[in-house]
Amino acid sequence: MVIVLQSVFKQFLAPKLFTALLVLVSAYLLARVLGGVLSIVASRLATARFRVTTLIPLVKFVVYATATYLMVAFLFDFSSDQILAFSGLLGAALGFGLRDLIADLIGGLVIVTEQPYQIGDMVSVGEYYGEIQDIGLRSTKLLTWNDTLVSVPNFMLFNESVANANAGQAEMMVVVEFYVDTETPPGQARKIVSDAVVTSPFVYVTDDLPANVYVEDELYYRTIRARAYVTDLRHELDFKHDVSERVLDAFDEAGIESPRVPSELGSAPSAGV
Amino acid sequence: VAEEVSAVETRPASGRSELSIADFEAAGLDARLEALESTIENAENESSANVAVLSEPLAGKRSLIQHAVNMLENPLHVSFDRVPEDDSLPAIDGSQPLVVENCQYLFERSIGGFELLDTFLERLALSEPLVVTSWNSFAWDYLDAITEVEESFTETIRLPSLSGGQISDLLDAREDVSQPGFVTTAEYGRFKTIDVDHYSLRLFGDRAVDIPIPRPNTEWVSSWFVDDTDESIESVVYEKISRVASGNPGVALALWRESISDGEVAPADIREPDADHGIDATQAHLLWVILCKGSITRNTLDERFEEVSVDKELQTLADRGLVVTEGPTVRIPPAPMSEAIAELERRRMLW
Repeated sequence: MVIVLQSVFKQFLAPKLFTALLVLVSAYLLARVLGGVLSIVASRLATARFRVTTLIPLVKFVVYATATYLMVAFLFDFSSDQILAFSGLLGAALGFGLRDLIADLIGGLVIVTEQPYQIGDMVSVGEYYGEIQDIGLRSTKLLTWNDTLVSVPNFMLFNESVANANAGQAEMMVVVEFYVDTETPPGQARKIVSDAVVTSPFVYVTDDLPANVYVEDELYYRTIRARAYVTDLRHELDFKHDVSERVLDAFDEAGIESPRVPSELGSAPSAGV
Repeated sequence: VAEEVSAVETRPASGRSELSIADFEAAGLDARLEALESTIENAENESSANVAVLSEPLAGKRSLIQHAVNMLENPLHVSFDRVPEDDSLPAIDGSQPLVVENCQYLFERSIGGFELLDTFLERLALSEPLVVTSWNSFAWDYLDAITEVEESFTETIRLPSLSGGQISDLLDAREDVSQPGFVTTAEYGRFKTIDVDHYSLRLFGDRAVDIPIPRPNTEWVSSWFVDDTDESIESVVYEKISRVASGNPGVALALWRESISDGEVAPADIREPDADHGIDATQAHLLWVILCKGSITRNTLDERFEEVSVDKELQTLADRGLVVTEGPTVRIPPAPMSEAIAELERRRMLW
């Protein structure tokens, strides 16, 4: 009996399994190569990179979907009854062990079609905020500011709110806040912050994307809040650093002080971000 | 002509390409000349006319300004080559027309760097006589994005980019184009068969929609069918020069001269701008300042970028072929001007 099974395996199953494995490996390599080529093209396009990065997950899905179809068609020659039976089997599998995996795959499909975010976007998912590095079949990889690569399962899209800061555009709004003493003339502080924002090398100002500075008067301090777009979302920290550094220097020169709060009320926010 | 040109003149260094009024006419820019002339003529009957002449560096605004000086009766002519002191701002009073050259020096991209410009624009708003000013168009576009400087002027005259045909006419008028032989090489270099023009459709309010309009590069496509003849190669040469120079006549002249080798010119000899020079954000900012000012002294850069090793950064820019230093002054040479512009456009630092 064992000999017969070995013979069947050698004659019929082994070549099919080998071919299926070959298709799988080829699909993996093709997806990697295409993804790599598109990434290189995207990096050369600088701020226009999103036109290309949006294609990367789509290309991967097409490659893997084609590979899956070829493997199933090659390994199994299903009749309509068998397909029906297989569907039942798939349903059972979904109900048990593969539920999360299938949810991830469907989540990935939703990400590709609806594009709540794409590679390169700055996104908040759950407690994490960072740039989307890759959108895979099962998970999305996100690089945080402290250089940690976080893998977020794609099904989290169904359970968590996803905040996308730039929605496929290179420019992104950045907010910088400064707190000053209530004695500070608001016009003077506002002018300094406004100048710092529009003279930053990272700022992007158009009629549709203006830079604004607001003053809010609180009981013990004044908030100077600047809202402006950066040329590229990757300059978010550079912009904050550049504006903050120059504003704080200018505040020092102008004698603008941090808020003073009565000690019984606790510590005051310092003049800065 | 009363001329109060500042300490260091902004005249072109050797090898730079200065355009004359005859060149403007040869290149078909009569409309811009007429606009300036009619504005000046009308200003004699009106009050409070303020004109801004805008162009990229080397594109000929100096000639237009000189033309205005020649047309006006007894104008006060002031030219800046650095950020002036408060008290050296020209007073605008009486009825004497004023011509102010290189107004891009009236601001610095720093906190408090717009005060002089604000003062000047305020004087302009209250002025009676005609005031003709010239601006670097990159500096102007930046200022217009953040301060809407255009509202202070009744007329703006922007020198447009020249097409391949206009470049050809300009070279015909200026250079001995019969001298070099037009030869083909194995590769013409990178071309676009279809270019995309952008048409801005004004909607209600201040809104506008950008509509891309494909435009076939006819000179290039037609050259496929007429091979190895001087005429077809010539048209490709002019088209490529125009494209690489982004229609800037001064840059086109420099590219033309640079491309001729041993009495021959081939399309592949015309340098193609590289948009990525591997420079960092600080170097890009320095490059922006140099581009917007036209030329600037190292001392000014040292004062402006106190926490940066300016000499080191300038050396990197010079190594990449983007700037040259001539004594105390730094500028972008004509030929790599397109590369500097492409680098800054790639970084969205130009408006």
